[in-house]
Amino acid sequence: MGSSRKLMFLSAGALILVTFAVLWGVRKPDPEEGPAPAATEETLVLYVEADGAALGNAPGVHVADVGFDAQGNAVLLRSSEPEIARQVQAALDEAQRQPALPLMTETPAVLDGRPGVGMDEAPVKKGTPGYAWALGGFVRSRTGLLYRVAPPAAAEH
Amino acid sequence: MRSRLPLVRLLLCAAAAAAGAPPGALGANAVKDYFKDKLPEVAWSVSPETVRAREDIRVEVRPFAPGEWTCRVSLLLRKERTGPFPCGSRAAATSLAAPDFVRPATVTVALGFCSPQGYSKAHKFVCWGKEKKVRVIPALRGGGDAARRGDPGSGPPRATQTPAGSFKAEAPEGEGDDDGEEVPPVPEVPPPAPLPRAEPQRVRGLDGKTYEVGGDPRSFAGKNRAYRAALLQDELIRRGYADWPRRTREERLEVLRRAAQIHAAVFGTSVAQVGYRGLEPKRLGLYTGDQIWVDPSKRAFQNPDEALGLLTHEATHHYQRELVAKLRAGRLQPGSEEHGLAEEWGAELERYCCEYCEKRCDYAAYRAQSVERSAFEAGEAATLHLRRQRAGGGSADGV
Repeated sequence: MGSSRKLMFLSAGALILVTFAVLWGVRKPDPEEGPAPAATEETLVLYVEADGAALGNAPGVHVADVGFDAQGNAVLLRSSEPEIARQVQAALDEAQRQPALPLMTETPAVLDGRPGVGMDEAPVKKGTPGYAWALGGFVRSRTGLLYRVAPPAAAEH
Repeated sequence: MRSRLPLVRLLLCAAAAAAGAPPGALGANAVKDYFKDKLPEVAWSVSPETVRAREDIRVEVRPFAPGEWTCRVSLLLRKERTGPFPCGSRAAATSLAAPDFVRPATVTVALGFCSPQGYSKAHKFVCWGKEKKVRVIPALRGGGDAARRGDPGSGPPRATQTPAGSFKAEAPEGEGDDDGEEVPPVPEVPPPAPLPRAEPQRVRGLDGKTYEVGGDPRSFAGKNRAYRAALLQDELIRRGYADWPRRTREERLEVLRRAAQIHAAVFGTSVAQVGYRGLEPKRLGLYTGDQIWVDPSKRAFQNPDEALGLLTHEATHHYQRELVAKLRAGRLQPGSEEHGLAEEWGAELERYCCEYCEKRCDYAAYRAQSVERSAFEAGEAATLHLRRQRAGGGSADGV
């Protein structure tokens, strides 16, 4: 009776361990497979600043795109030149190490009876609304590239 | 008409009593009515309206009820007071030394009137008063050019008088706290900075084409480049930058004001006035049409690059508003870049900040506005440029 109970506990423990291992294996991406595909709708579109009629509405020359995987991690999708890829990836790696990034926004405000616009700052974490914009500001601060946040279809031009 | 500052009234009355005003038997209501009738007749002046730290603020009272009054002037700050002095028999004057602030502030000068018959421990409302505001500018530390200031848009700051018979101030204001108003500077617009043509640069795009990136110095982007280049050429800004952590708030404010002046010179606008203001915890700054308020206690202002980036963002909004005003006044040439920008910005500014925030704020919609795209791009570029220059030069724009 005692040994069968022990066996039962051991089996249950093993089953729990196997379950955790399977779940962990599913969650953890295989490093050999490269970056996970972008899973969110937003794409961070990066430009080298330029003004010219040939560029249409774009603020400059479109040189790279950054997407987001299912966990909200930023992934460099493509770039026009290795040097740009290197700088953008370095900025993304640095951003990944930050617990949150500052996000600026403006809201209507009244001061002494006069209408105005107040600029607020709040930290945003990956996977939350506004993170792509905050990341764009961060990447710009490291690379100088202009950015827009757009759905994938808009980033394909 | 009822005073909202019992403590000050008590102080004034106590002073009047100490000066020899005998306790009287006049009831509180009767005294209040008496003062209410008399106060509109009081003529008094405070000069100058803007004063340097430690200079004298002169207060003059003209007689209106000979023999019946004791006056006292109070600077509602640090409990500094003059008098009491007799003001009933002839024109009387007194003066107070303006306090020394680390930054400009507004102080309240209160004139109290106490009736010799009116003082009574049983009835507190025996004194009545008036107040005026005086701007105090600190003595500059380490140079700068804060001369006497005035607001070109709305005229110089004026001493304001509350309705007769009332005290408005509830507490001392101004000294070193973040809630005091700032004195707008006299614009001293430096000569427009040269507009350099950007060095041509070849950049390959994702479409496989190679673009030559240069830019017209007369364009919006070109002016922003000129503005950025001019920032660290300015002596005042360079000096302020050299040791930002040890600069006083006033010195930092001088740097921000100078940046606003340079922005105005390059973009051909009026100078947006810049001041300090205590704001809500998350709020860094505020733009109210012609004034930019910043909260120096916030994180962003501990870093000069970010501080100037924010200033640039708001100064860009100022440029947008003035450009739209020029468009509506028919002062922009059709077909020019500025004409196109003003048309785009004008339509947005009319509904600015309302649509995206009506129900719940849609951040993407906010950032999609052209007015915001350009303001963010200009502000971030300024921060980036300054950071790179301080780090030892290098390209300030683009990879």
